[in-house]
Amino acid sequence: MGRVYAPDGSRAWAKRYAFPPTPCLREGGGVIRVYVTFCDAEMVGRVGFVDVDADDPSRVLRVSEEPVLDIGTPGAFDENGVVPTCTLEVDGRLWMYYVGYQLGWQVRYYQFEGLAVSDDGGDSFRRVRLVPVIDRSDAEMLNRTSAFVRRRGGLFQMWYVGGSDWTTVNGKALPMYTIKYLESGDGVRWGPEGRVCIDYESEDEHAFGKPFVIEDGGLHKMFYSVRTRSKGYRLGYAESRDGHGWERKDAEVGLDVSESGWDSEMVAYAAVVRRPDKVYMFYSGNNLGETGFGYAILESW
Amino acid sequence: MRWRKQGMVYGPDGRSEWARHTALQPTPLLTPDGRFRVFVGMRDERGVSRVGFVDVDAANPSRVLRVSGRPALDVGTPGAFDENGVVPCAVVERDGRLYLYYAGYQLGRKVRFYVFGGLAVSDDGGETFRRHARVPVCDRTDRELLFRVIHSIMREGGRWRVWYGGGSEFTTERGYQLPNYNIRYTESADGFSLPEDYAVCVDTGGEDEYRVGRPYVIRHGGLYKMFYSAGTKSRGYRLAYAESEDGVRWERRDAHVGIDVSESGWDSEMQAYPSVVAYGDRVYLFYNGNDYGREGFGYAVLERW
Repeated sequence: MGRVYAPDGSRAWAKRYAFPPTPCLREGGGVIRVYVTFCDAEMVGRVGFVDVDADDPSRVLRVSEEPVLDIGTPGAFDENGVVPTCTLEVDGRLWMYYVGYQLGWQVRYYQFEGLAVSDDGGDSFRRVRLVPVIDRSDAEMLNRTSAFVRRRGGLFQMWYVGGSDWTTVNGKALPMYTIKYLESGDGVRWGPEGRVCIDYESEDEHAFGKPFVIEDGGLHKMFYSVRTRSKGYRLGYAESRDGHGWERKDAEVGLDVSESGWDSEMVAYAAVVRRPDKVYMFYSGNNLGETGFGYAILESW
Repeated sequence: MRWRKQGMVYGPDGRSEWARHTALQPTPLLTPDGRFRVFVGMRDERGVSRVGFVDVDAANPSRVLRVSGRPALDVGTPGAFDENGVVPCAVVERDGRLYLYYAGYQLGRKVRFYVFGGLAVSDDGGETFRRHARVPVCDRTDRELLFRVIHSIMREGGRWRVWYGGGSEFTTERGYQLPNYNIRYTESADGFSLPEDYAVCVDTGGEDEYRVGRPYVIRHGGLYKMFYSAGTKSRGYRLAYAESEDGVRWERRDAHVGIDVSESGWDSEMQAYPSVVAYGDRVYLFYNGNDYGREGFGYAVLERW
């Protein structure tokens, strides 16, 4: 259906980029609030939102004037950028899991997952912890992030990426990580090592992006991104009967890069919103969302 | 207390590539054959520290018997919390092995550096150590964002009692970032992880003092005695002293420490990073002098408590 929104460069904190679309239904379902990160001139990202009409997501209703979540204090894991990965309503309040970025000296950067909560229905967020909720561990030392979290009964379930290594692709250092699974009783405290759900299938693959899990027709369905050495980002898809064992069916994702335009080189970071009559998929385009985000409508599963 | 200074024990002569200068934070272990194996952090040209050791005669620590030819513990892998330096803090014998609690250094982008406590294990008496984990045993918490390092750990009554340095910020003084931390106490069930709760043992006092650290705790005469370093903006580092009946609530008695900088020489501007050990009826104080132990470490002998 094309692009929904990209910054026009008029706001200093939100000059460029709008990624990854993290949608959340509001106002009885009439509005979809899409949280995204906007970047300033120094490429430091802060979380804002784009409200769109739930009946026609190409209609932008409102764009946040100020960040709803700013970067962390100097020295904190999120001192150099914050990126939303999942929102979740817990006991009447909106939680946001987010990536905190920090630049390194001997590795390019670190990504760890933080948690913030909103007391005003999603217009602003405060940190639940100043440190990551999934911090570095012996098994997952350098990157532990991109969490998708859902609640089933009293249990919080998290799919996320984790890894300890970097690799070199065309002369550029890039992180390596797989998609893993953890459970938690409170959504704040998680174990040090997840079970691998989506693993590399070839030498070409070196990482995966942002899992998004839904239940449909008795199956768990996961959208994610696959990072390859040869092609960059593509969307991937897997199915599971129990949420633990996953079968990759990347060819069935049904959405690839366009011939030209804002999503001609890259599609990544899928997020699905189900309406009574339609299923939307929001995603990012070229250069990891530099060209903004767009959406597609499901024609058939 | 009164200490009689005995001068310098050892400093690198500059010939070794990994140990060009400095013997930081002397951390002694008494061996069965009457030596102290003194673990220290030795720096290369870039100032990156690796753990080595200096064996000295326990009856006469001026007598150096052996110096490690290679690092007993090297820096961590790229990206790790200890990628830019490791310095020994406490060495504990447990289940026939040596456990080395150490400080791991990482340089920051928006703050000068981070220091978190790691743990390494040796099966050969401290010749070589391997990491217990690639991440700190006491990693960052909400109240200890930048500094969290175990310096004294003691098993008592089935739990591990821990005195450590913790802090969350730097303050800027004339354009230079000064780290702020103080001395804290907590208890660990296993010695391999720390709870987030703590009690402050010794806090910084007044405008001038910006850090207190390196708590070296001993038991003596029914008391817990802590030797530590106190850093002020005006004078730099000095040795300091506190006492406690229970190891938790402490009284600062800095004036009682009984040693001060010399008129000239290697410890004339700074004294810091203490450790105190007994051998027979003698009590030794190992410590560093000027410029964070650039010339090496020395010792003093206790004349009276």
